[in-house]
Amino acid sequence: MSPADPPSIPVRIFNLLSGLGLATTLLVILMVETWLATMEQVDAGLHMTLQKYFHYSKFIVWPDAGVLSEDLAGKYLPPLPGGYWVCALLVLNLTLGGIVRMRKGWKTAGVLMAHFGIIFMIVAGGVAQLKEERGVMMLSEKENDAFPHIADYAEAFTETVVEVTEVKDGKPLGPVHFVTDAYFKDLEGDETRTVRLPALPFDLQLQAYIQNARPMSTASMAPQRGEPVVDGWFLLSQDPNLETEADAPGLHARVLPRNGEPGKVFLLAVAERAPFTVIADGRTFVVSLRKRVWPVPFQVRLDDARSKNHPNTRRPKLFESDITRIEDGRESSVFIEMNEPMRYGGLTFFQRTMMSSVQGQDGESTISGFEVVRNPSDKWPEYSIYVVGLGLCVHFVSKLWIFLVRRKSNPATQA
Amino acid sequence: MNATIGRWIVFTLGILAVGWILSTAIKDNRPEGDVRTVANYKPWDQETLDLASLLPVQDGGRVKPLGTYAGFSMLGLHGARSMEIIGEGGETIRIKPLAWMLDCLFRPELAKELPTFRVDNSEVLAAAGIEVKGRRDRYSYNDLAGGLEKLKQLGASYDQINQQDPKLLQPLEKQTLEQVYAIRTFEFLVGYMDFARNGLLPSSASTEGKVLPVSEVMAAAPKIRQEFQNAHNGQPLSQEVQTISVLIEQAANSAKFGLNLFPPANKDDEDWISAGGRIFNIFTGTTREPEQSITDIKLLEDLATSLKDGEPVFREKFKALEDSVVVRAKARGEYRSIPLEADYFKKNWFIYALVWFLLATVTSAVMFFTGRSRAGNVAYWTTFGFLALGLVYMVIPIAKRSIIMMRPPVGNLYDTIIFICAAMVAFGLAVEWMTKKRFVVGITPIFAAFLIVLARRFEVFEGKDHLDPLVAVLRSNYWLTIHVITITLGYAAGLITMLLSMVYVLLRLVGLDRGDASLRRSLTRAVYGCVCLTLVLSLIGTVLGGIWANDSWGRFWGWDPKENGALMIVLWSLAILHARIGGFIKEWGLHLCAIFGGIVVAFSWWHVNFLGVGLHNYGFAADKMSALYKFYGMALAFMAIGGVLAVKELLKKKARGEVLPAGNAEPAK
Repeated sequence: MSPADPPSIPVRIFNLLSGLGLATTLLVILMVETWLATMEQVDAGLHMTLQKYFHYSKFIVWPDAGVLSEDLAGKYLPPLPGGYWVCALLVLNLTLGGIVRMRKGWKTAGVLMAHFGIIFMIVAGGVAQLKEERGVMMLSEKENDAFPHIADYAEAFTETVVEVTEVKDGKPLGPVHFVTDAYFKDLEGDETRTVRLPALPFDLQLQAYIQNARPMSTASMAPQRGEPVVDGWFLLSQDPNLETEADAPGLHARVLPRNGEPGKVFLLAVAERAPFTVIADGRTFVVSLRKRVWPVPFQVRLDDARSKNHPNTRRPKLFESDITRIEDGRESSVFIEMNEPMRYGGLTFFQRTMMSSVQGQDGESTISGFEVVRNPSDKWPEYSIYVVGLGLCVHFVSKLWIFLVRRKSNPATQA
Repeated sequence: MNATIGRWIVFTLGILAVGWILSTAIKDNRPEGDVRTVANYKPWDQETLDLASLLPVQDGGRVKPLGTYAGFSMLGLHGARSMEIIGEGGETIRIKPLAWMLDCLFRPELAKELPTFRVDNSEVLAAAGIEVKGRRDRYSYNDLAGGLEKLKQLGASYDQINQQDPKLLQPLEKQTLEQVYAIRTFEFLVGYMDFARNGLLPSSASTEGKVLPVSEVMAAAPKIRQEFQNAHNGQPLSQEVQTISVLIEQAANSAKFGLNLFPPANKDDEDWISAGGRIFNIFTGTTREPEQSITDIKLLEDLATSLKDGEPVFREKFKALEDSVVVRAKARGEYRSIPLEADYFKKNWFIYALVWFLLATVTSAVMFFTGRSRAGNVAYWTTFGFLALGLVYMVIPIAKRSIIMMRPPVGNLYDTIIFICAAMVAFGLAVEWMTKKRFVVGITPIFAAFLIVLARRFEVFEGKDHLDPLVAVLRSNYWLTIHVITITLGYAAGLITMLLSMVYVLLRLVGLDRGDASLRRSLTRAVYGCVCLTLVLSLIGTVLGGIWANDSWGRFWGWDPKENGALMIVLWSLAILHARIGGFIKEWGLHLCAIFGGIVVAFSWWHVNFLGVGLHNYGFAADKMSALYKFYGMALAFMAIGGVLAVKELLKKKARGEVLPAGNAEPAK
């Protein structure tokens, strides 16, 4: 091929994907989307905004024009590509342009390191979004309190599940069957979905999911939107909270026995702890809707929870807990405080909240809440910033050095 | 444009800027309306004030000198750290915080005459039927007396709304509520020593005109408690004890809030005790040190009643109180920074720094005007010297604040302003050292002066002590040092980058560069270097913040507005650098983008605090955003001017056939 020949299509695609033009465009788009997401979260809440801008299922986002002026709320700005895919493209661009295509040498060593570090950092973010599990473990210092004294599970913040458990003599029997919210979160109005449960003598038909529901008696309030009434109760739809974890979802369900007779509709709500009882084939089952619970591979016992304010103020000074980790009968004492989590067995326990079991009093804390996180890429950003920092310092310090040497040998004129 | 005309323009702009800052600083310190006459007001002796300034008190979660407590109390109520009145003999008197505090505590009748309350909207008072003056003015407690009850009623109803949802409050209602809080604070102060001045006057004693000192009644506390115990067991409670218990409760309540004067004997108890607390605790039997409690209250009684015997006697009693408290504070290791802090506030370092920066602005205007003549050189070195002096006067108080707080210098928004100011000046001087182009020293002082005025205004707006202890999550000197300082330096670098580019636009606009391409290139290189510096500091600072957040809250990135703002600076800096390397922007493009970078920094540093969400939400009112919009407007104006000049230049180059197609790579300098 002579130098005058136009490059082939694959080469042109490679050039485009590895080009500085694409890099600049993606960086600007990411900045604009970050700004939009910052402004939109004020009214829409963080979770909803992130789902809209940065979830992998969103290829295109329509920014709300309300970020520019309240008068424009509800209208849309020109669409932008989804943030997740912008990041993915940026990784590709950085890999091709910032590593593969870039000249390799001492002069570019710093930039190469920085590019590699940033790719690693973005990948860490992607892995976290796909693989991270996050929940809360609430423990009490005392036995038989509002929260357990020892636990080996964490409760998810936003995910809900329908749980079906067989009971006998008031005790659970056999495994717990559950339906994740991926099967019912999208059900609106009269839309229904049947979930087959081959191991059980019935199936479930689910309908009318409500993000933030409150069971309400018809005696205190009549249904306003034609909500199904069950035994004098219905699910009142409330506005979602800005913090999605504070929402208490609700769902309508119907038991479908194997004999083909449709059972009647019943209500499921996170806010209602009492489960619905189903009797089929002479067996008793309880069905409930609750935040998803996921197991922790060891037990944790709360020994002491301490919180302190700065003297004569309500400004928090410290939150700290002494816990015992129990694994295969072996006990280990661990201290957890703000900025000092416990990392063990692929999980990290962070001090999240603290309260007293005696309500309405400022007394000594007796309940401690830990945020439990399983994130395979937990420490990757830390490693990546060492690489990026070193790379950028090498690059810019060498540039500065060259600038200063040039200035000395060629003094500039003054104004 | 002719260079001489350009110099005149720059000179005039410099002088106008100095004028504006000076007038703002003076206006902030001048009382609104007429100077109040308080005919029988006699100023305190300096000796008394010096003595009082070192009394340690506990407030806002830390032990501080009475002077600091007085300063922020006065700032919160009066909106300034001094007030001017015409006192005894028609003498004009400037009352400083400590004198005002002593008036409140020991001369309440005079304090009620002082124009303590700053009222920004007279409608607040009019709604309560109080006779008003101008829209903004200062009022004494006695001025408000006629409508106080009504005002408090309004405040109580607005308080209920506030507790439901602060966003439901209308601006006037919010201002009314704030006014009522201010009045309540003042009432606590002037009522604090009532018990010590007036004692108790039970009915049995009133017939003899005998006032019972509270300390004497406290000595009888075991007997009184026993009487209550007997009453609990069915025996009748004497009228005398009933009356005394009511009066004691009133006395204790009047001195319960505000000043926590007494360190507890038990070192594990962190809470200092107010006079009211001392009185309460002895009657409820909840103190480990009854003797010391009585002694402390006796010291206050002696002090409060000594003023009628003259200030020397008052000083003697004050010294007795102070010595007693200081010994205990020292034993607890809580007196360490009291003299240093008293000295810090006394010295007014930032005001001196402001003066140096304003002088530097004037000499820099002369420098621009005189060019490279001998006078120009003198003006240049004078400017450089003033700027360096200003930096010294910034660094010393910042270091002192760190020593007082025992933490890195940046822990709240106020800290960021003064730190960024110092960092900007340091960066400016460094850029000047590297480029020797003078323009940086020319424009840096005016922005440094502006930041000091901003810091003072912010302090007045918040009216609170910014040497406050850190909340639990921030209590990590390691992370505060490496994350917060790095990110704050990133802001400073972003702002100095914007300033350099504004200089570039100004140069080109008024023709100060005289067509010297090397001068422009030098400035462009400096901007490029500063963008790199902004990137390094912001990127490392942001990611370190993420790592800290991961250790504190279990997530690397929480999409908190402050985090997002920092990320935006990183992304914008990266976009600029990549666009430049790719040849999509050249000299003009780099400068215009750098100015926009200043907008991104302002968004990250200030704007996000107004959004009302996230972990860095300071609860700012949206009506305080006008200054921020003015800043955006100024930056956009520079961009617009630069854009027009750039287009004109592009058209000229096109006409000459000098334009390279976009995307032609230009090596990074």
